Amino acid sequence: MDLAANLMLGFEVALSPINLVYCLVGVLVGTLIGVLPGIGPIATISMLLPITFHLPPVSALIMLAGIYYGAQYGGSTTAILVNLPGEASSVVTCIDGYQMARQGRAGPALAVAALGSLFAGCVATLMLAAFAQPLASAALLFGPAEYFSLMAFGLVLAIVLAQGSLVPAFAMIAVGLLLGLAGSDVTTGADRLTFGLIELSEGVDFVPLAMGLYAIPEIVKNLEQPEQRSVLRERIQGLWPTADDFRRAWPATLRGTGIGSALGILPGSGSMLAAFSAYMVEKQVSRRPEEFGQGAVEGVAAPESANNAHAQTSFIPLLSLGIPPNAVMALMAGAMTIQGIQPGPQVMSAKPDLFWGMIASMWIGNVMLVVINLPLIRIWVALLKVPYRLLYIAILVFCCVGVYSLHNSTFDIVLLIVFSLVGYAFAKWKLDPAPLVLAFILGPMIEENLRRALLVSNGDPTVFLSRPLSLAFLLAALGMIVLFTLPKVKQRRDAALQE
Amino acid sequence: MIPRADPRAPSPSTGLWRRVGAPTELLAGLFFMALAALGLWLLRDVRLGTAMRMGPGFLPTSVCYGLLLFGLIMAGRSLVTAGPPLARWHLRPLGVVLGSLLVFAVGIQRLGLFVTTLLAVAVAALATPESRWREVVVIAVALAAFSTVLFVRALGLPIPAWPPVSWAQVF
Repeated sequence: MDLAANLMLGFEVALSPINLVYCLVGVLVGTLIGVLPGIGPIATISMLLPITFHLPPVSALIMLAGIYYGAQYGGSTTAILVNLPGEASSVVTCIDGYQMARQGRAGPALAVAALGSLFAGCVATLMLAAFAQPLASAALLFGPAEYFSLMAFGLVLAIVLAQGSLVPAFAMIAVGLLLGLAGSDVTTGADRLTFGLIELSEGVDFVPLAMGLYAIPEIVKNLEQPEQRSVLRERIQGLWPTADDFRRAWPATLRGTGIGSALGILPGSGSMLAAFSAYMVEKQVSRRPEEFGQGAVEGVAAPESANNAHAQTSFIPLLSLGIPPNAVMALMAGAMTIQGIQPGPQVMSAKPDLFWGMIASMWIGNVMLVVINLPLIRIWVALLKVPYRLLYIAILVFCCVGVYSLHNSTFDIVLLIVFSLVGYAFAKWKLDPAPLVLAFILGPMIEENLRRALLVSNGDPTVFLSRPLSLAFLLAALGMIVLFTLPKVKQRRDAALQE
Repeated sequence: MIPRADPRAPSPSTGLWRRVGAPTELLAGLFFMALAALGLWLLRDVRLGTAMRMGPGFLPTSVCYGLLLFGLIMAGRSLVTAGPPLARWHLRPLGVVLGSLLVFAVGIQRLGLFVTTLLAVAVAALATPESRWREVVVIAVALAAFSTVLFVRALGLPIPAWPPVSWAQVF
């Protein structure tokens, strides 16, 4: 089947009434949590995982994807109007967006952010449609040795791009692998790391882990400081940008889209990195760098298109190789597993409706976001007035019911409490949980491929070095570690990852 | 020279801790080492196997040794390098939030979703001094009704909605 026929199939799936509804729900929830500071897409998706259990797989994934890219839109609204990043990736948008708002140009800033995101989303989705298929066909030819080395490479990228220094990131990978391997062994049925508990013999459940590491510590951290929000008083007048805005914003949007799309494919890179890089590039190429920080329209267009492009292309490694490049994609991989779908190159051929339906829904969702959101901006701003002291209680109840409903077992809530405590400790120790979550998802696959590769080679470990592709992945991984331990590169990386 | 800890850091910055250059990294390193030790102890009876036919214990045990090494490096490094002081743990929100999760876990099968939600919300509201009791009552009832309707009625989850008829079953 060629691309056009595939896309036809995709739109057929995505335009079915039920999937349109879930797409709309996804982008609305995404915008909402994007607008509200203190609750992000990772926490929300982990909260909604239990619900997706009861939906058809396509609808569930369409909704979760909508939350992710919807949050990138919503985050810019808060950044521009209130000077608070509603979403971590909108930190950079605050700089020039809020300045534009203070000059009475909030409307054009919002419009540029939304249109830039729309453009970036459409282009990046096209890249996803075009690149995922060849990549998946290539991956189908991989043997266990290639797969093992590829996943090792993915984990190393997650380490070097994680915040903080390398050794703790290695340790987090190790913890994630251990948690992923816990439960009975697939081949022998032997119990490992289960404390003798029957509840753990199926392995650690992903939902309490993700919620415990992200959602609950986020609530506690927000409760630690008293709430401060200053909502912009001025009315938003005139949404439409001027001709000059357009002339300055479109090259910035193009560059932002390019940077975001490229970084999205890299495992371990968050959309914050994309937004930040795009902003820095804009400042370097601009003929008027002194205007940055004073309300330059490029400073809104570039990071906003970059973070949206990044959100779309980060689906490429997940859907074509089965390797989640960041924490949100790890949650998507978790959602697929909950639905009984093993993420990997076989998804595209075995479930074309799922793959192409998701792609088509991203175009629909991006258009929905612009059409629905620009007129609704006043409502979103009004929602900013909901105090956190009410919000966190609702989030907490939702977490409880969600986790309990997985297996109707209180054990999962106990697990949630344990992981929440650990997650809070990690937050206080400045340890990024993303490598842990990635390793948790990849752990069982790594073990399976490692054992199969060694079985096939009769226990000869050089199999990983004698197969050229496998060797290439391992060398690339080694190269990354060496590169990022060089003092100069390390400094630049630390500067780039600094919030 | 020993780097000075932030004098405002309210955490255990007395005596021993003040000598440690990077107390945060030391704690994390010790935590990882303890975790690795726990893993090795749990895996003591699981068959390792050989590289050719790996037993179920091969990879987890190797990962535990790796974790032990990384923890050791972090703990060792923390004694000689400078790092940020310990961040303060806010025990009230942490304890209360985890407490409300515990209330939910204990209550759900005995008291049903509606009553348990009321109780969990009442506990959760203690997490911040900003809570106002009138609001809490309203949101507790609203959330209890909403979650009962959504999860039990609409989604049809097999969660008990109400306490059992006889109170003898509760205790």
